Amino acid sequence: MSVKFTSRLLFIFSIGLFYRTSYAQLSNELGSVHGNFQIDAAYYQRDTIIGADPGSELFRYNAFGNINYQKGGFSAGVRYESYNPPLLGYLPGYKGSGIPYRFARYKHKDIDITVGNFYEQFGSGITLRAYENRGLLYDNALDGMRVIFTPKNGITLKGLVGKQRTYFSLSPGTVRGLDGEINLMELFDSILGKSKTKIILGGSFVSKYQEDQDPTLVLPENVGTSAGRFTVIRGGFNFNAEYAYKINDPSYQNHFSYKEGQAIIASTSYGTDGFSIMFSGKMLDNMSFRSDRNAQNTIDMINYHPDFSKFHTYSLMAYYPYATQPNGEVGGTGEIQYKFKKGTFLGGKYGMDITINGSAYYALDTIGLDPSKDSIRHFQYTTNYGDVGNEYYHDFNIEITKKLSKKLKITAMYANQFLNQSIVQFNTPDKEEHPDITSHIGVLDITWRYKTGSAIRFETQGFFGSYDYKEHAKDAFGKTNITNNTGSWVSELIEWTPTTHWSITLADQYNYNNPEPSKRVHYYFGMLGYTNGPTRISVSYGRQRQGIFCAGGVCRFVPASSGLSISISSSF
Amino acid sequence: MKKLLILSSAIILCLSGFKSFDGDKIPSATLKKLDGSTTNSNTFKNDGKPMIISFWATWCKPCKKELDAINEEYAELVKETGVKLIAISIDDARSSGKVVTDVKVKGWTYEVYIDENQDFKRAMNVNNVPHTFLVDGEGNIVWSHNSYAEGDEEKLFENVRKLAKGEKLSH
Amino acid sequence: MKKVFSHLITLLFISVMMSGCDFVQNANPEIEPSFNGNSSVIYKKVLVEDYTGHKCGNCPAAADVLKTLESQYAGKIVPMAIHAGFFATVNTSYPTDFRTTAGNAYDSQFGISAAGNPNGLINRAVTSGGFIKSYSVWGSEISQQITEVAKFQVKIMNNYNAGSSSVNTDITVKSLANNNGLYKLVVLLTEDSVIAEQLDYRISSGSQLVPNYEFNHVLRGAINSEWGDAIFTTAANLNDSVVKSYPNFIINPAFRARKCHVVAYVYDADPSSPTYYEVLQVEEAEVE
Repeated sequence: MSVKFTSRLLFIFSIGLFYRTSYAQLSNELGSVHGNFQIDAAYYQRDTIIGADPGSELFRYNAFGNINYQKGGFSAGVRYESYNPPLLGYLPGYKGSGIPYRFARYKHKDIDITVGNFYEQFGSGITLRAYENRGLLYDNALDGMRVIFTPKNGITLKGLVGKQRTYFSLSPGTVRGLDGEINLMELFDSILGKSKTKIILGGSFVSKYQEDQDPTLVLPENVGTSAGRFTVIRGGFNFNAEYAYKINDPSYQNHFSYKEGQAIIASTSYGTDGFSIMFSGKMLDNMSFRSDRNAQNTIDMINYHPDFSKFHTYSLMAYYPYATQPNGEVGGTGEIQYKFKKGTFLGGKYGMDITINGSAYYALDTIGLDPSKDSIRHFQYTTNYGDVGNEYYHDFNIEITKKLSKKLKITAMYANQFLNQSIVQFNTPDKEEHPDITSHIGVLDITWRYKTGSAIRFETQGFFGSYDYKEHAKDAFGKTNITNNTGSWVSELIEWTPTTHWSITLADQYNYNNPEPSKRVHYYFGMLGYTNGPTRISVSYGRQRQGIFCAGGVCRFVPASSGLSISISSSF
Repeated sequence: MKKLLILSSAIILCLSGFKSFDGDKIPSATLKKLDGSTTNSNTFKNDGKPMIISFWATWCKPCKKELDAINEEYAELVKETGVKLIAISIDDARSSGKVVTDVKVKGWTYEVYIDENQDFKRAMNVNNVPHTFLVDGEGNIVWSHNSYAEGDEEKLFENVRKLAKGEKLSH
Repeated sequence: MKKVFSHLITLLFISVMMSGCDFVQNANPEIEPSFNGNSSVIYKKVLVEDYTGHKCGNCPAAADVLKTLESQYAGKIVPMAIHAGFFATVNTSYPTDFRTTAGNAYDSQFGISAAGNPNGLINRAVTSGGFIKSYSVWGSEISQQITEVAKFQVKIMNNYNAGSSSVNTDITVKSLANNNGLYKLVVLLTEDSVIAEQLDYRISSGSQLVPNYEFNHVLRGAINSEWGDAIFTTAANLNDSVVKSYPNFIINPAFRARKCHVVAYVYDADPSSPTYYEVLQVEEAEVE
């Protein structure tokens, strides 16, 4: 056992011991200490049939632990993280250990001050969102200071300066932001009385600074983005919209275009007992905004481009997910939910829920500029806002949930999806290598609660895809672009919860009609889970298919893997 | 392989000592109400009766299953124990617009807040949703549970009833 | 107090708004940067490796940056284009195979195509971001490297025999300081002005396949080997020099000798050194 590994263990033990000995003594006068941690570790094996090659480091893990202290308006905390090396499919740049997150915060009356690391979001996030998602290992926390000032009920002003986390160090650029929000009804409550209509207005300005060291281009060192937004709420009705404008911001992601960026996001919804309707639409043009203009992947993203497409939880529905295209896209998502009441014809004894959801996203209609006429400004393209370009993605789905008896509940779902995967996932128009995919997907999910606290769940899924290969199915060497993922799939899952503490899952995904018979492979998977209060432990063994992981508008290839995994999380 | 075994046994050893949160007050964080106004988590009150705080998200199937399961017996439970359920949505901008429609269509009568910046989630040390807490009449957090399996709500109901009667809770 | 505070915030807001934006009217720099240094000192030349592929539609943009850098840093950099990885594979639309054993070895050693193309190496120096540099930082990395005083001087003498289409290359490496590490010399062949198919995403309408794209500085292979021969096996003193001769290297008849260059570089070959793989000096010379 290496020294490094031993010290990691010591760290874990020390959290435990610290907690055991101290929590009982820390009364409210001394403030309270709490924390949580999660460890995901895997021991991989080579599995040539599915193309899983874990390299030479077979044991990998992602681990973190938070310790927070709070007393009255004061709070402080640290997070230790360790990835030596990170699990397959995560950015290898995270390899290492350290304390990338620590903060102290003080709130008193109308002032709230944070120094150190913090997360923040302005409006819908189109100008700024410092955000973490530990499961995706997405973390662009700011390191600096933030002041939130609430001079009057209904007015919130925020100001911040900081550098973004970049793996275990900081981005070369600095981010500065201001945001103001006025809730008119809260502010004028005393004058107008309790109004039924709520109106909220907001505005934000975010600027980044990064030195220009490029001898071939004049790069803007200060790049600003500003946005205005408003929300109207009345009863079950809700409308909000935000418009953002970004000045010239040449970057690796936009191929060093000096064109301005623009975005419009709008969402409206109406909900009443048993019925709701929602529509969200957006247009983005050149809205990638990063604190390091040379950054790739999900690193150093200052803003966020909300993706309204349905977040699928059934694995085959989420097989070809969409990711926002910050360089340009236009589209929208709509959803209707209806609940057939108990006692009606369709509702039966327990009622029935139906959800219809549809999304469609397109490229912008862009016109490339002749490089000889564009040599001064380097815009590279202009946009025709009157039209749209190629289709990127669509997803139309319907989901019905019905409880048949006290013991039996059924969910059925169907989706029709299309993905322009060459552009959306691989950022290349090469359709030979990455053909468009149209698919029909069906899911049936049955839960049988055979006695109190015990249940069995069956899930069966089918993915019927057609891959548009065009004429070139083979390259000059006779190599085909048929991968382990090509073809149609079936997936079966059974989950048994004998008591509320334990669960056992067995699953298999089978690529049953891959055009190449040798690639028709079973991806079996088994998991044992144990939950007690805030603690959850699971051990699993099996194969993981290669796939695409999308977070924050950027997709990442996750290689196929095979092996034993253990996951532990708890809080105290 | 050996490392994995050592690591896991070390952790299980540590865990055996953990209890959760017992006896602490709700930490303070700013939350959004569904009507767009803001409130602070330290103002949560239920006139000396117990409260359930449940973290969920519109995209989280087990969370919605749990809240639906609770909803079926909620009216009865409220009558019996006076409990109040506070549902904290951790949806980000992608889906926060769906929180209000989901709540309306499901017919949930819970108090619902949006934790858009996830400050409350961090303050409560929640790793994954669903995560449910029980708060006693004095505002002390006395019990918590991560994840949802079919039937988990029975344990919650049992504990709410015990809490209302002032009995000791079981995990 | 509150009023003062909110006025302060308003003032801050306005000042940040004013200073937070640089509007660029002309993206081209007015003064061409250059570093001349001290004429009595020998500085490092910079090996600029552009990892590319004919099926990589974003790569011509990087090649254009390299062309600009060549004119800005004339005589101070040695460019080399390495075709390797996924984007360099051939098919019916892109039949020319630019891949080489040496190029594939470098690509996998430095993990370039795994990280994506276009990307490059600047003297194979490691900075906070690792070895791999996106083309947008090549210029600034070069401007740093050329200010470093060289540890070695490299001279190339080529003798071309048209009859056998072979070249005799003599490389002289002179130590400009007391150097006591492990060093290796690599000698490579590159070719300019090769015309072939290239995908270019900058073309906005019609086919993005450019049938007559001009490829420059294409790595054609190693004259000795991809990781080279050890030099100065005992510690080198100031002004020590060594001559390595590579006689009768046959140039593939498919390559045009008059368009070919010999590229020679010395690198840090000590695996325990923090600058392992870093190129310490590089030169190029025409074959004919």
